Amino acid sequence: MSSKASLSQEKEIILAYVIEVLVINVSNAALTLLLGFLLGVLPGTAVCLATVAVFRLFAGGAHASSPWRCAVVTILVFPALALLAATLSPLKQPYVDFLAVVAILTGLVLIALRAPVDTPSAPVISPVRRKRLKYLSIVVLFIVAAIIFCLRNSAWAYAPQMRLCLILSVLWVSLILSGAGQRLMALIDSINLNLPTRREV
Amino acid sequence: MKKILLVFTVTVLMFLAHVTAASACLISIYQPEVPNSLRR
Repeated sequence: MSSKASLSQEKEIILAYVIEVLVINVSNAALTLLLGFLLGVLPGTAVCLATVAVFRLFAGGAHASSPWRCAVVTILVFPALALLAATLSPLKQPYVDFLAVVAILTGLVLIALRAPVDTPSAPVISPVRRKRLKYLSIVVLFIVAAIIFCLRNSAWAYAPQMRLCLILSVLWVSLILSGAGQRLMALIDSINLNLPTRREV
Repeated sequence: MKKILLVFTVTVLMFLAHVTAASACLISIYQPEVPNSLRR
């Protein structure tokens, strides 16, 4: 493509980067939604995925060292959050309100203290950009908090489940922003996936 | 026509590269190495 479009080497590198990003994210999102569909929690999975994606754009978070580990975590986490939301949806309103307050306060504190959490492969260098990303993360949190509040008074049958999806997504974002989340990813990175091979006789 | 389509695709991809590089990271928890020219 680059030779046909006669691109410079620099643009060629950028093109390779963006294609890698698109392939990883689109395939992970598609497989996550597929698992959500198979488990019967597609709308919840989509809500969790979209919420965390918007947060991660601005707040960043812990990262895995390989695309395969990343794919496994991404594909498992979002349907699991949606399943948990579906399981918890019969909970009475005061308990859900308490969970919402805990999630929003935890999210606010962690965003204020740590966002944006960058990686060595994509560092946030400019202090102005760092400040802007933190500000936008807080704006996103307030929008999500407003949606959680609006869903509280909604008559929509799926409102309690979607509300819990948003609450659990905010808690997941808080975890991946925290030191504990980074240690969890380091633990996942340290899992040796090389299965022992049979010794030849 | 092919040439126009190619230029259009490259332009869209370049735009996406700048958008993705401007944000902290994406949906996935794996972050490929951002090219030096996109680091800010």
